[in-house]
Amino acid sequence: MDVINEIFATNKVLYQCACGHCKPLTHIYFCRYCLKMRCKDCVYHEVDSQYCQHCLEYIPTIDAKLKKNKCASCFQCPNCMHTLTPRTFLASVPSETDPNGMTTRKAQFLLCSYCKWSSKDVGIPDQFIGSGGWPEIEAPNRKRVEGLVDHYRVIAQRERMEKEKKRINPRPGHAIHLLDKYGISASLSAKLTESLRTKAYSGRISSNYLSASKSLTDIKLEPSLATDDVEPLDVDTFYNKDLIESEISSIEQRLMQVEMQPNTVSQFYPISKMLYVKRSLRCKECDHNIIKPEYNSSSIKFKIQLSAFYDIPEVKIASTPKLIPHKESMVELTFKNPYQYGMHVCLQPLKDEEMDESITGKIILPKAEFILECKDDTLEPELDSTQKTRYNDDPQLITFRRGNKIGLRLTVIPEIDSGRCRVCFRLRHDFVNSVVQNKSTGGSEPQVSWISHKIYVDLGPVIESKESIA
Amino acid sequence: MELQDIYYNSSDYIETASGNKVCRKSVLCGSQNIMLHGKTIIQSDCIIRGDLANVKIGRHCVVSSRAVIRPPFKKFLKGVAFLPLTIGDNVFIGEGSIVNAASIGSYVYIGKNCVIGRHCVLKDCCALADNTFLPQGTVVPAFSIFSGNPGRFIGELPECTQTVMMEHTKSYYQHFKPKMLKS
Repeated sequence: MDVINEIFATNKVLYQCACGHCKPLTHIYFCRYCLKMRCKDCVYHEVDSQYCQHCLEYIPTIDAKLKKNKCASCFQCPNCMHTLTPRTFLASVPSETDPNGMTTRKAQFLLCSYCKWSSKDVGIPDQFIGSGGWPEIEAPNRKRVEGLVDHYRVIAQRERMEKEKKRINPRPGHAIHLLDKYGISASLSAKLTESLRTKAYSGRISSNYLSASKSLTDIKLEPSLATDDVEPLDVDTFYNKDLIESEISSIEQRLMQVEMQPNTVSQFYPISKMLYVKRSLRCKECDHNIIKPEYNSSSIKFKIQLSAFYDIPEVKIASTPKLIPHKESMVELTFKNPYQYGMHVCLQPLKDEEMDESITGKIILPKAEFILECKDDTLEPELDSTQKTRYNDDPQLITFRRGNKIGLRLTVIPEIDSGRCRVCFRLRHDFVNSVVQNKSTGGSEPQVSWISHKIYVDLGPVIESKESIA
Repeated sequence: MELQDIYYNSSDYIETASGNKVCRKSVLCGSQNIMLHGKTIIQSDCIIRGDLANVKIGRHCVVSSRAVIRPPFKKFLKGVAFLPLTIGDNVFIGEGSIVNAASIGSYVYIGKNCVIGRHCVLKDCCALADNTFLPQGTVVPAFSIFSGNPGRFIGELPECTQTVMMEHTKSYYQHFKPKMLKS
């Protein structure tokens, strides 16, 4: 897991999102409409499509709701959670035409290829092919829970209507529909017709309210009753009986089937696989989509993808020397431009009010601005030798320039005696917005704006001096 | 963190015209059935069983040392048959992993010491953590991380996985350099 995190979500370089959370660049989104960083904690999450993880079938939302967000054809092993595979065999059954004879029919049972648990183990009858799916067992208390859900839904609806009723003073019986019918509303002012409509609407609410209160009486729900009778505890099952470990289910197995919670292995039943969702994300400020995936469950393409990874320069640590407390050391950082336009980048120190306790080192930043070339997939970066001479780079500061990537040598002074050295700076760069056009120039030229991000860099532990150890 | 340079003995590796780097200490059985699409690195002590069925490996893949790639077999009424194995582009296979899958998509990361059972399907953009065991027939959907024994869904990969994996395998190839011999 550590290596995966190192590649996909390194915590060595963190960017601060507009909401204040620090995240790796791969987990940050960049809204091109409000020019702000967003993360999963500060956007709206919407369910885009549901699919089964095993058969990868796309299931429409309505179907998924009907099937309780479970796949109709895939089952999980109740013992080890691996997916069960149906095994087909020829079973001999009494013939329909000849009462004494036997015929063969294709039948199926479910088998786990990992732990070898099978539906035969717990006595589930084999299913004949073409006879439909596996029977589902009904969870205890299902009817009661469903009844309660219906009951509270009606109550919630009623409360909402009461609230609306209070907000808009009802005065039913307005003749706005008559005005519409004879085309009079068109000649009236827009403001007047609007107010008439709201009044008519509130009148409709009050009539709805009546129907809601009616339906509440339709649902007959027995209120729960408290009783004094308590089932006596059978102490023998806990203390005096020999415990056979292989017959008792583990806590994890019980929690996998929350509705049934089997105590023993013999109560196991194949679990329908839960569906997974593809999410689309939406900016809370401007309501634009940030991520919109395609419906196909195995597609890795997106209709809309505004990951910061494609817009914001990526900072990486190239090399760190030995960090000695309170002494200068040189650190090499690389900056890469993933965007289709070139960027002017400058590094700025934090203001005093922006400093926080987690910053344990000082970084000396160059005052000069440097240029990052645009990303060019067609260019082999090693082949472009003219680049070095094209930019008048200071060799003391810039260690290399390769395509859209440069290396910077910076001085760091750790300000702690032990622990990890963490530095922070602001990265300011210009951003050519190809999505939002500049309105003032007539919409033909792309809008250029300067944005800055707060970046935390964890350089690793400092070397403790000998005096502090002694 | 940027990848550091990895040096190899230039006498140990063969570089093909399309940029594949194959270690002489690896075992490629039935090499006429093994197809490498270019810029793929195959490190020492790997075994690729091309003698069983065709093995296709895409561009910019890395097969780390001691990995075994073996096409899966299927039982039929009359004996068994081996099915071809395809691996997409920009796939990283960690040290000592055994791959028995039916197909592996593109931009897949497989950690160290993983065992991938017969007929597993790994879709594009997915990852296996170190020491994962996938029992036969497991499907790993896109953007998911599987871990444990048996392998189970434990997390999601970011939306930009495709580019991250592409850059990782490309920079691995760039940093995989021959050792300079002292004259």
